Amino acid sequence: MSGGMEAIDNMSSFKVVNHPVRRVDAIAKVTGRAKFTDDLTFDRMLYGRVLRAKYPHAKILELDTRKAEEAPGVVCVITYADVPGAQAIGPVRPDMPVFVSTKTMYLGDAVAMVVAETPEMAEQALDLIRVEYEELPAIYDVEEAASEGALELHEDYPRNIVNHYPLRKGNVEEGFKASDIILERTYTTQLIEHAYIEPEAAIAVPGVAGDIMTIYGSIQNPFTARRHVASVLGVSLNKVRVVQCTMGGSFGGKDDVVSAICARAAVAALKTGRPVKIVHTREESIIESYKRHPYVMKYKVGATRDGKIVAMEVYILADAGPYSSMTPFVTWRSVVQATGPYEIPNVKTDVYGIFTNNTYTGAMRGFGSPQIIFAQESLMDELAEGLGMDPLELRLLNGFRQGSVTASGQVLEGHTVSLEEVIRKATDAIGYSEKWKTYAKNRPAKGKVRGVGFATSYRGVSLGAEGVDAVATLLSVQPDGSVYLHSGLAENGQGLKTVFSQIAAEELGCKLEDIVFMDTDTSVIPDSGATVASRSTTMGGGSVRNAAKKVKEVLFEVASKLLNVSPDEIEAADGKMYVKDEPGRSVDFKDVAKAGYSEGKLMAALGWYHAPKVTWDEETGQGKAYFTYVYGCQAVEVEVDCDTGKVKVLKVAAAHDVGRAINPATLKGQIYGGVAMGMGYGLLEEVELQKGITKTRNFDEYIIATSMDVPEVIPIIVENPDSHGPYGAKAVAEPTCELLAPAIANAVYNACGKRIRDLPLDLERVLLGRSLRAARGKRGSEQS
Amino acid sequence: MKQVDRCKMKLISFTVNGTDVKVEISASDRLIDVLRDKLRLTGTKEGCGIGECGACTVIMNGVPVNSCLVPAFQAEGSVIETVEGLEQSGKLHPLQEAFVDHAAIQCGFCTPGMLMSALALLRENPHPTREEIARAISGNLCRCTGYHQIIEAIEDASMRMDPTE
Amino acid sequence: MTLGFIRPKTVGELLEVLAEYKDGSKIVAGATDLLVQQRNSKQVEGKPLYLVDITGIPELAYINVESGVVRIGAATTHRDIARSTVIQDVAPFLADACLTVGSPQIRARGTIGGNIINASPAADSLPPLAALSAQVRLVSKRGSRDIAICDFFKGPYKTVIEPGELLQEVFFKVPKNPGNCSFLKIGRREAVAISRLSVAVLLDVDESGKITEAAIAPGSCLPMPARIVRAEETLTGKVPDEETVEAAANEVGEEMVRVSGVRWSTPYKKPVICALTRRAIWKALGVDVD
Repeated sequence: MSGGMEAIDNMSSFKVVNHPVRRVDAIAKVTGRAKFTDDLTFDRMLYGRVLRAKYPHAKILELDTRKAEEAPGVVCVITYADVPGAQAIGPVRPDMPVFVSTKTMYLGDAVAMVVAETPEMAEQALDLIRVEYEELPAIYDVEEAASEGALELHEDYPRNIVNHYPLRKGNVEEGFKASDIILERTYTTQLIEHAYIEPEAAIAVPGVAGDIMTIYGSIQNPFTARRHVASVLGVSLNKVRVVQCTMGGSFGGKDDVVSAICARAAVAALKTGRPVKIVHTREESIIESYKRHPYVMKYKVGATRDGKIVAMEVYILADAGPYSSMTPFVTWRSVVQATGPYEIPNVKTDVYGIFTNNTYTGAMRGFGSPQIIFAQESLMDELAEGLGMDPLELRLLNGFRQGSVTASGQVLEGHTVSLEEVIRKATDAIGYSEKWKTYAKNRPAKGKVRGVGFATSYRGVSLGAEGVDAVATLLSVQPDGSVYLHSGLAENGQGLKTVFSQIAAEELGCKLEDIVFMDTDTSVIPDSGATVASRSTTMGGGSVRNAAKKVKEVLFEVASKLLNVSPDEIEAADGKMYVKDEPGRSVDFKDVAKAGYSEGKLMAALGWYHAPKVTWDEETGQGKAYFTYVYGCQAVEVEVDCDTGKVKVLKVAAAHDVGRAINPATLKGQIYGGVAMGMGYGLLEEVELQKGITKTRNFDEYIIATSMDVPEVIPIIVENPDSHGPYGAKAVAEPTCELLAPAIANAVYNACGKRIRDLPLDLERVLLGRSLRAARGKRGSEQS
Repeated sequence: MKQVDRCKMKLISFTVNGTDVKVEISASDRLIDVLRDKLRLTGTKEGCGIGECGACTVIMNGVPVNSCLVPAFQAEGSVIETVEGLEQSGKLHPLQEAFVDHAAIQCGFCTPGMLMSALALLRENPHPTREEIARAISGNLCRCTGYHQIIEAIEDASMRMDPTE
Repeated sequence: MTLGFIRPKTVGELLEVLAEYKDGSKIVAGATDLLVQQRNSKQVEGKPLYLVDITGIPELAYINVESGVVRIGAATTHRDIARSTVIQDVAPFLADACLTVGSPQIRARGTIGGNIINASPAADSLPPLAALSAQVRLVSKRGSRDIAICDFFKGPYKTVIEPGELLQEVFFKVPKNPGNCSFLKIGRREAVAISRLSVAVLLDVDESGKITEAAIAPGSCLPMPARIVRAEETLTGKVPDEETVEAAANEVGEEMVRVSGVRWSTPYKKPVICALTRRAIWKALGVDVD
């Protein structure tokens, strides 16, 4: 099956899909029986603890591990010299060493790893490793790094440019000439930690079946981990088996960093011939793991007096840290979506990834969208103010409609362009229009004042022109009618197992409880790429449905004999196969399976779903970037304490077009969780680096929302079924966390007239308009 | 006066989920280490090690505590309850049922600690308001759910546990 | 590093142990600060220690009122203080402050004695105790001494307690007008938040509405707990109006800058502590303001 048009099913007939069924992994998780990586032990297991860089950028003159090797309980100390294969890994370019050899590039670099009988013994021996460093000049400021003549951190990367994506549409110079109003603004965003509650963990078990290295871990993308471990060990892919354990959260975070941990464990397991476990402490996690990119974004917009946007020019620097990681992919989504869901005839966008000696950055829920949406949606409110217009009117005037043309020249067709619908639903739910006018009129400089704001977006579904986009599912019906489901995409906590099981049960007509969804195992299922980009339901769901259809065909043939009708007269639901026009004439699903087995039928199938074709011209930034889009809008009411700078989020309405809600309950969970994360981005969260040194190291300083911080949330599920996804479903995970920060910034302006262009809107910025954090220099608009 | 014991290692006894246990502990062991590593009760999770995330929450002598901040020697003679003790003879506790029914679980790593904080609350306040529930779980960080369905589940559980109200 | 642990059963046993080990021992109660400090400093630093656990001594956990004096045993948890009807009656702002400490789990373990001994400038219980003119009782094998809470500290994280001494209790006189008190705190989030700034206010108001006595103690703005005498004097003898309250509140900001100097945080802290104090004074007077 390919992603062609398919008739969209009639919703009323759904038996399992579109219902808020229980999560299939719920019982294991409420009883404590779910096994997370650190819950596993193996005979003769050893523990690895990593020594990290002392300086963000330094030459290693000498590395002496002898004393540590002699310490009690220590089996060996691993360094780069022990790596049998590739020294470095990376999803785009292999430029991140698993162990550094000659120099450190950021504070999280691994210099060596002690392998010992207990974690405590490993920890104690770390202090016995002697490293002599020579500090090197370093770059921590992204604008400095990108300037002419800047120190180059990597050879062959002038101005430290990891990648550059241009996008050209029309002629911006002409556009600005034709504009009655032109605004130029700079916005900046901060370094953000995923803050999954389970820190990274992996176990490498050598020689389970001959010379296969088995990896168990908290791994978002088992196939990526396998590729990296195989290359570091210097073996073929089939010599590494990766099994995903229950994941304690990921949000894009347990990818490259976990690949590195898996590789370290594997090198140690190979050397010692024993299982090796590595579990990060929270401090290690925050210091080593990659983050969401801080962006510096310069926007220039021109519009006519009546509010039509004529031109937009965007220049963005994304701080990549020292390694490429996902920066080329993250910034690609930024270039596609940088000007927002608005029809603009003239666009010039340049997005650069830039190397620095800060903590490296990569994939995080949102993936290059939260930053640009903060800028572009703040800018829309600023433009409305400049024009003397209502921000809602301005957006509706310029917003995408059916058949609109995007900045990359893509015509929006083949799906419902529901921008206006989501905007109206979200803003109506909080009474935006009335309140916005009332609050704007009354802005006392003291005490607590209220404001409303909103932000909206369009978002390309799945990977787009980023890369290979195909997913496999293996569905196998057992002789007793029970079902195994294996998927190439992985459960990260989001509810994928449940949604996929629902799709399988719906299509196959079996009972949901008869399906067992196995943890992802790279030795069982074909490489399906990564569980990222909110692509699971659309892509993975498509492959589940495809597999189920193949198996159903076989089962209907068997059932047709039992029921004495032709296969096309049969339907299946609720664990029964029955004659369409005579539902009383039925046979149990399990009896069909039993009969099929005795007849020697193949009751298993590999389902495959390949995304429809997309295109991109690297030179012009033009093309059909994604095969479909989702639309979302979040509106918020806040209370600002003008005397303390405290912003309290009172109520959020979140309207998201999801195509079709496969499971409305877990879908709401995605919305609530995304809203909380978006609130943290807007108000609370920031990893502070002081000259490359991580100052924020645990949850006492990295502040995420508690149960007492989250506002009332009105989830509004908009369903415009999409021809590409299973039952019309598309994506929701990421849009939910990309909108609230700018909505809050707009609401704060509405409340007290302060426009804050730098995240987060912490106490100091709201009170004084600038950050006072001791650790960090001023940035963006704070420089003036 | 009787000499007070100076201990480096000690065999301590306490009750876990209704069972008496004896464990040898050292001065630097924490309660979470004893539960997870020595008793293999791995339902209790460690997320931060400094009492900020609450994933390691257990009930000690009736009150919720962060087991990463309890020196193991203080557990001597105490009554400890962990997530493994909630299910009784194969039947889920009403709180567990409610978490399942309300989709109050995503990745599940905070869930055990969250359940223990909720249980401690409902025992002393069988009919809490939403605000009281939010306060009771404010020491349990969750990055996935945004808390709403958890709060709904606890509210629902309070009614399941005491249907007379 | 930790050499071992000792669990005395009585205060007598405890004092023997402390006399024997002196600074080779460290008292542990709720351990909510201790285990975090140990983790951050790793085990290699510092001299070898015996941990002396006082949670097995029932006679150190109590709240009682006798002859107009409230006594709180050092091992009393924040949870117990916040829930104590005695404290809610005689010093509700102390109960409020204890309720903002950490999380429910931290409050269930952390003790008032630990909060005092740790001597953090951001400790939540200290501003109300300072406003109450509380005293601490230190005991050792040699005897006991009482020290005013504000004299107990030498600086951030430093106190005058001697090796071999135990902080046995904190005590204060029942205020004349327990209703006229307030505690306000600003943190970066609504729960489990370290105080960015806090303030405790305790007033005595006569029938004519005149403030006859005032106690104002801020948190997170001075190196150690202190009363702001100039602010208190500004209020004393006056029937409060907006101008007076504003003037008193501003004295707190001035005092912060006098004592702590101008720091990176001053542009924020100075106006906000003034605003917070103004609100706290009105709140103590029973007037709801923003």
